[in-house]
Amino acid sequence: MAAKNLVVIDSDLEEIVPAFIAKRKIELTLINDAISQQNFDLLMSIGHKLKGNAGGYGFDQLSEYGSQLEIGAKQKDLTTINEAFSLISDYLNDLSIEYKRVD
Amino acid sequence: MGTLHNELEAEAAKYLEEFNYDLETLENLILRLAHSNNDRAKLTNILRLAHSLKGSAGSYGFHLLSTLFHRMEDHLVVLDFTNSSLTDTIDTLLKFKDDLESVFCAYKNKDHSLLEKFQIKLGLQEKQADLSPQEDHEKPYRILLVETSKVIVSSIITTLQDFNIEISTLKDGYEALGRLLKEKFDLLIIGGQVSTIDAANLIEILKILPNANQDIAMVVLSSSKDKFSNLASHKLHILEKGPLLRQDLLVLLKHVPLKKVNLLKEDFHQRPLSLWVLDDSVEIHKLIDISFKKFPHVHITHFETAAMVEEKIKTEAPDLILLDVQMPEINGDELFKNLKAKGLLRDRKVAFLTGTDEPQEINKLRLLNPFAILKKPFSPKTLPQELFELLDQGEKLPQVS
Repeated sequence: MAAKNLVVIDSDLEEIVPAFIAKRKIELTLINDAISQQNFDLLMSIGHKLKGNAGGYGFDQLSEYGSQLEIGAKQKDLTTINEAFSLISDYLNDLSIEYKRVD
Repeated sequence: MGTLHNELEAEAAKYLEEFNYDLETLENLILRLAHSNNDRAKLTNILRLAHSLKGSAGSYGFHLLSTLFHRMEDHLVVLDFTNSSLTDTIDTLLKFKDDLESVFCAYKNKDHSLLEKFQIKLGLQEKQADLSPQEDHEKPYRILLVETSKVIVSSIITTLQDFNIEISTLKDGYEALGRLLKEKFDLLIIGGQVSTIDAANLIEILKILPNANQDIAMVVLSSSKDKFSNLASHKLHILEKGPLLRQDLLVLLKHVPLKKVNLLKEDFHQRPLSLWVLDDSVEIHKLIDISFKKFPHVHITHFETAAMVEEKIKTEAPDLILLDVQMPEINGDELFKNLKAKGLLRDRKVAFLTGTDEPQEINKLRLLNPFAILKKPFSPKTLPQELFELLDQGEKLPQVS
């Protein structure tokens, strides 16, 4: 069994994080479709948003992957885009969240 | 051996006798500045004299005099980067001269208690029991700035010139170590890659060697935050060299223990604040709501399109508008320009919220002279504090001309 990707999140964010992650999972289909259609503008926009938003929610690694997706889309580099997509996908599928009070 | 000791003592006594004339020369040079029409060459003469007297005082064992001359030199170097008035310059230099005179008399009269007071005042001795609260409060906050780039040094000095801060500048890690082993500083700001001993090694050495700065707050300046991220701690901050350095430094100075620098009002921490947020991502709106949950005095209004802001600003006046930069249809920077052109902004403060890492993009934003530029992702834990502090500092934020 693959090891879970455990992320500790500030319990202040507990009420908004589940919806954020659920949306990211739905977005995977959107990214997949955009890759098939080589819609680089859409990929760039998704990557840019992920980079800017995920870190604030406490998912720094996901933010990095978003940045990779944005860069790949900017350069129209399908290898980088596909790699970023699979990293995002694996990250979300293996994700386990623990809420803790952070001062 | 005894003879040599006596000879040295006699030489030192002779030096002290002559020192009176040196002080007179120094005073004359300072007073002549008043007729100099801000002539830099006159300052250079004082710098040269201070440098030469620093060396001789040190070699005769009058370390307090030597340290005072060193501080005077530091001050003269920093003056080069600031726009201090001539009156302020003369005033400060005369204060140095007065201190030199007091220390000189203390040496001459073997007044050990006064010498000890100066040791403490200059940060050469830890014990502070003899300082009255007034004297302790008057001790300036001391920063050692070690950086090779003149542009960065200038930028930091001009950013800090309005604070009650004493800055010593150096270009080299080895020299910095020498000063840090001898004198107490409150904050070390060091370029990551300064020569001889770089920032990472200097930090390690300071931990090992006995010195008064083992607990010092530090800022490492780096072209990339990631390079030194392993060093970061509550006492050590990494700031990126770049267009946001001055803004980041002002924010940071609120977090390091700067009791003597806290000259600024803090009323935005309590005062009702109307904050508008324009972002096309609902997730950012949620995150901002959570960020300010503990601050009921902040009233947040959310906007998802530029058009909504443009309409509402005609009738309402927020204290601060946060504008996302990259948005569908109209970008935040375009909206900012539009509002300015239409005269709708007046004195309303606008801060950009941007996810870009491109220095050119940030520079472009900076040229628009916004109130601030905040980077995404932001931490909901620190965002409110950061905004309150920027608002408190308000007019002090660097503007691009």
